[in-house]
Amino acid sequence: MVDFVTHHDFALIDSNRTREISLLIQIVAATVGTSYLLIFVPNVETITIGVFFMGFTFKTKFGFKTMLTTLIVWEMIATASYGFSMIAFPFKFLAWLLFFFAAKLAQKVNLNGNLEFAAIGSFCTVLWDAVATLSTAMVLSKTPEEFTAVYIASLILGIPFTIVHVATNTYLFFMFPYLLRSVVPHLRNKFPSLVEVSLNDEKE
Amino acid sequence: MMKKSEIVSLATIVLVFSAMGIGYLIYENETQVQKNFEETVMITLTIDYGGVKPNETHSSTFTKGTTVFEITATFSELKIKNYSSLGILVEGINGVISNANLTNYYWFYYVNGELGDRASNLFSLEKNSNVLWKYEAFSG
Repeated sequence: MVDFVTHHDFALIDSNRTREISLLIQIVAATVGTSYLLIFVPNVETITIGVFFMGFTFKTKFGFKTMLTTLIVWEMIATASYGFSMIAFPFKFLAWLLFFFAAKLAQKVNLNGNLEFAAIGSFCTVLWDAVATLSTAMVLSKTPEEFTAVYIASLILGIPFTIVHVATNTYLFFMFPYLLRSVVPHLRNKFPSLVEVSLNDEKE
Repeated sequence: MMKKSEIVSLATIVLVFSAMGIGYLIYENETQVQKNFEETVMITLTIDYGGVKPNETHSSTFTKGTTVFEITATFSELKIKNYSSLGILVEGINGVISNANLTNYYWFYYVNGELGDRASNLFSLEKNSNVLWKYEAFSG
């Protein structure tokens, strides 16, 4: 009997974990898959909005796990397309972590307007590029003294890419509330223990 | 009526895009300077009068693709004969004329030590080069 109960409990726990892993895989696949469709369009990607969604929608632990998995899978996919940079990855990770924290903050203050999300998207994307470019400067500068000059030059030369990145992310973040309204109710029904966000529509 | 948070957000977006615009102007300026630098060549022109006059040397930057003839004409008075499709024959530089000041002496040009293989107006310079015009005996 005890064995049965234990077995039953184990099966139940296992089932919850399976559901959690299943959701994680779906979110990672959606984020990486949509970004892969755009891989040959420079600086247009959906990883950032995906990371923000993970931070905004889910509880911190699950959101972080999903983000980490997404970034690792994305780096593997991106590596197959244009090579892996060991130095760049930690900086990109830090930059995406910034979005994750911004999402958590936005969730805490119960942000819901299109313009507010667009503002976060545009501002944080500039910071993302600034942080990610640090790795370029590290690779290209030969001495610590020339690091600042190389960093500024790298930022300037990357401006067309930054503009594309900022413009597309601003648009995607502007649309973020629509994404939330279409996805969160389903997630809340199926995975109530993982979803943290509460939408204004739901409150009413 | 817009909410305060919407006004702040809109201001942030405008600020970010204005910064991007200014950034783009800086980028344009920097790349134009770089482009100009990449599109020029440094040319040193030496004119060896074969002892008739003291030699001359000039150095300057020119747009890539400038011909030996154009560069020479920049620094000297030329006497020329135009053979249309065959090109322009330089008969005299700064008053020193082929087969006139010295018998059987003609003008030849060299680019980086190599004798020019066509009329000087058909020889474009695509990289930093040394051009030498030499008034010398024709041995051909």
